Amino acid sequence: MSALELRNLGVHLRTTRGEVQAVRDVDLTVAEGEVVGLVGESGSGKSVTALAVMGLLPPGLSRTTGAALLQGEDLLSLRPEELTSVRGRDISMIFQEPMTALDPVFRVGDQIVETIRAHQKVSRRAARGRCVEVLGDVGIPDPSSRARAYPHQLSGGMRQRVMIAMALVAEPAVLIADEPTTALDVTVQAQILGLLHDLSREHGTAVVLITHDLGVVAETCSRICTMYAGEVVESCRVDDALLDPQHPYTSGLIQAIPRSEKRRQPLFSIPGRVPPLTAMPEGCRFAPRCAHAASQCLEPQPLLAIGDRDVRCCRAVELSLPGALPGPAS
Amino acid sequence: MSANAPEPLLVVSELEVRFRLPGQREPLRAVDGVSFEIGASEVFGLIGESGSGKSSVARAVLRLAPIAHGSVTLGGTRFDQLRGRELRRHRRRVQMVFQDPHESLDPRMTVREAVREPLRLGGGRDGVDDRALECIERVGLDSNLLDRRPNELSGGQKQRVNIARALALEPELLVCDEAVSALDVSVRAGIINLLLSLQQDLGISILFISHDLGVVAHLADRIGVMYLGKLAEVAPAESLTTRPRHPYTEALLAAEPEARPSAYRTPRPPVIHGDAPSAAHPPAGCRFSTRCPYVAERCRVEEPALRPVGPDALVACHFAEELQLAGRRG
Repeated sequence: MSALELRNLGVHLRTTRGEVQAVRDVDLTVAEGEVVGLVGESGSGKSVTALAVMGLLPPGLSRTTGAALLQGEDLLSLRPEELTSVRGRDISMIFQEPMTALDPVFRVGDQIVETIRAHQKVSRRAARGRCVEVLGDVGIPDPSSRARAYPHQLSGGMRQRVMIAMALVAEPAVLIADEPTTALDVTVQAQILGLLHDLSREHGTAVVLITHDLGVVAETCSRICTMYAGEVVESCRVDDALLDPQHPYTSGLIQAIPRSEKRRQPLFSIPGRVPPLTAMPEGCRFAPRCAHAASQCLEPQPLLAIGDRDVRCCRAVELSLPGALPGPAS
Repeated sequence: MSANAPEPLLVVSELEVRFRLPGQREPLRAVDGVSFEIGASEVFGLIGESGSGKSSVARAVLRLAPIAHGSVTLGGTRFDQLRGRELRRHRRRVQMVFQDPHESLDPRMTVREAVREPLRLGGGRDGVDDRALECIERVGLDSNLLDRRPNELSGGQKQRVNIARALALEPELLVCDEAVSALDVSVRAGIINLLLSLQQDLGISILFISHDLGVVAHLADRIGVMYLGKLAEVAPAESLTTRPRHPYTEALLAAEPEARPSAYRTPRPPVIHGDAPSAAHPPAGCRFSTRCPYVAERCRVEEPALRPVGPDALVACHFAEELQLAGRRG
């Protein structure tokens, strides 16, 4: 059984212009101890997908369809109070900006103790001990004194470590990390990504790493799921996507990254922009920006199983798209 | 640069920028004795993590931050000593593009008005419209966007408007402070291409400031690496990335995620630990000594000067000649 399995997940949002579908037909499976990258640009629906799984979208203004199975149990069918006890215990989420996710007026140790005692019947003293232990696990030096610090007294990297400690203190089966290192300096980012990788290995936590950075995915994840305009367009092993992308959007993203062998040469840039949710094309959503669009692309595109990967492109087999290596073979 | 090289366009010498902090007797030295030159039609990249002082350098060059010590010379003119009308007359020679494309635009102004504004303020009357149109076309904006306002434009289009505004007065130097950092990867590629073409076609010089080593290495002819208010290394982009000579440069290269399949990634040294110390209380001796894996006793007491090492690099490390540091493949 997978730690997390999304089946045909859809998210509808109510806006002033009526209901729009922000996320459509998302399938995603994450095994125990696996780190899967959920990649896409702004407006691709990756964060909305995560919030829908966590049940954190405003209920009156959103509607989630399909299934989100956490160790076989559908999160979408849970009552709000059941979901509250699952969140933080079985599935946790961390965000880009730890400063806004931590309460500024409480010491970080007290916030972690509160999390522990919300899910486990333990004494305050035992919870304190566990808190110091978990702060040490995430690489915070001198954890017992740092537990007494307020969030503003810690650096960005330390705050993100506190968030990870808080998310992992109940040893959840699944951790969703939404751009956890985007606000951090690159040397600190490397430390945090290494930490997520090690924690997933050691505790068997399944991690969904949401990011816009293919470099981060290449170095941290084993599988990648690329989203565009609310849909999964390609889902496969990271090395396969980088060597031989089969969806033109994945290939375009790879080509847009500067690389040393093409220094000072023009980069590939995907023309146009993501269509607004209110005006999605009937057929392939990427077709208006795609250099390979043909007449069959005007038809709705199902996610096709090609070998051991899934691609939402009817031309995937006939196209040979450039990947992350120079030369014609890539 | 060779001995008979033409006069550089910008000479920054011994620059110091200080900020007074509330409740602190000693001012914060955000920039502490930084010297570099930018040649005509050269792209100089300045890279560093938060608190390194790279943005303060940009603001000092633009005369937006007070210069406590040192000089900024632009084409032979002491830019830092200009006042009043003289300053306004010379200011058009240096223009800037900031990180947030939306915040930098007046929401009430159309594209046409926004690009006309600097021309009007620059005292132009005749040909203002023609020049504005020329700039808008130069940055690759479609003429049907002329009467749009910022909220009707995408992030990439807005940044193009900002660049068109900066170009309007025909500056000799363009200062870009994290100008592509807020953009999606596919859009970012287009702006990078535009900046390259401005240098190559118009012969404009660019001071390009970013935390993203991959982007800086793609664009820049030479790169300066800043750490806690000082330059650690200045070298041509290619040799800096393939053969770094300062341990901090090596650490930055090691931490930068590479979007390559696992079999093709450069083997790299382990990631350095911890966060950068506060610029308000920099360590004694070499500022990188608290995190440097090669630190020796001398580094903690004696501050290394930025000095020539090899044919074309300047390095602030006592052991630059002895260390064999790892870079990226060419």
